[in-house]
Amino acid sequence: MTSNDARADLAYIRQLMEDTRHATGVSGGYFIVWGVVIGLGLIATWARIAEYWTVPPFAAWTVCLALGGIGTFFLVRREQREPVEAPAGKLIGTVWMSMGITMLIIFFIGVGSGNLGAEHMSALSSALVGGAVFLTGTLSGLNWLRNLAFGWWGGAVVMFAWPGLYVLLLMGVMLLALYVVPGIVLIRMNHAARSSDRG
Amino acid sequence: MADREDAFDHSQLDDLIHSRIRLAVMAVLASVRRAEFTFIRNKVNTTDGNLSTHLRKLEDSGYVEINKRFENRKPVTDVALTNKGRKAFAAYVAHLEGLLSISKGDDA
Repeated sequence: MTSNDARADLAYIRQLMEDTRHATGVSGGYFIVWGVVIGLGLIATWARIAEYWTVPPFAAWTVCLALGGIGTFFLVRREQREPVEAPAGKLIGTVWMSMGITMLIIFFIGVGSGNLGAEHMSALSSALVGGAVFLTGTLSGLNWLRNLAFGWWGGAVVMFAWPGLYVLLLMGVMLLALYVVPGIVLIRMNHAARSSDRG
Repeated sequence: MADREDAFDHSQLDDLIHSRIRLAVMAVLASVRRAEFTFIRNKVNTTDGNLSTHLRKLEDSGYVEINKRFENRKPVTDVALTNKGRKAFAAYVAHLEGLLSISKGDDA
């Protein structure tokens, strides 16, 4: 074997490993599920404040968070049936599952006991989602995704520091820009990777 | 230069992994926890029969673990690297890198 053979073999190995990692990219499903769930909670809160709806925010958020938990559970199960299972994919699923459980505890114990005002749920959700996005971006090796976390954390700081009705609007914009759009980008990336696999 | 290249000690390379297809299979599996037979076949661009033959050799050496299951009544074959396989692959890559660093040292 010559040095050129060794170099070619190493390049071949790296290329295959890189291609395989791309094919096992992070699912955009978590972003869509939590984007919809938090969005519905915000709409319900706004409807209550604007007196369009009589359901209290606590009940609405309970339903929304339960839906988020169920959605995450099914996404994790679906990933277990994928043709390939990567360690990073499993860790990312665990990150979102733990984020959901943390949010449920804060909500039920914090807001449910009256020790935490429901008006702070947006800021709390924003901070927690920022953590999950940061870890997801790091684990999947997508720097652009990881950097979106700073947007979420910045939003959380603003919402905690200056609470008010505008928070619902800010959260809506953040959900669209930092959640739904990246979710769609990730789904497109996955489809593109799978199409190239079949080709 | 040719003398230096001929000086590579290729006897230390794992012959089992050195085959092009088996090297590709090991590289794909090294990046994942497990992969289905069809996924590997598409990645290494080979036929079912050829891949089966190579997988059997890797399995006989204890480098991969093959599990068969049914999903929606369809047979699915999962393949994963064993600890022994991961170590062998890491050693193979380390040896290749070692060869290249020797080559660079000679060039300098």
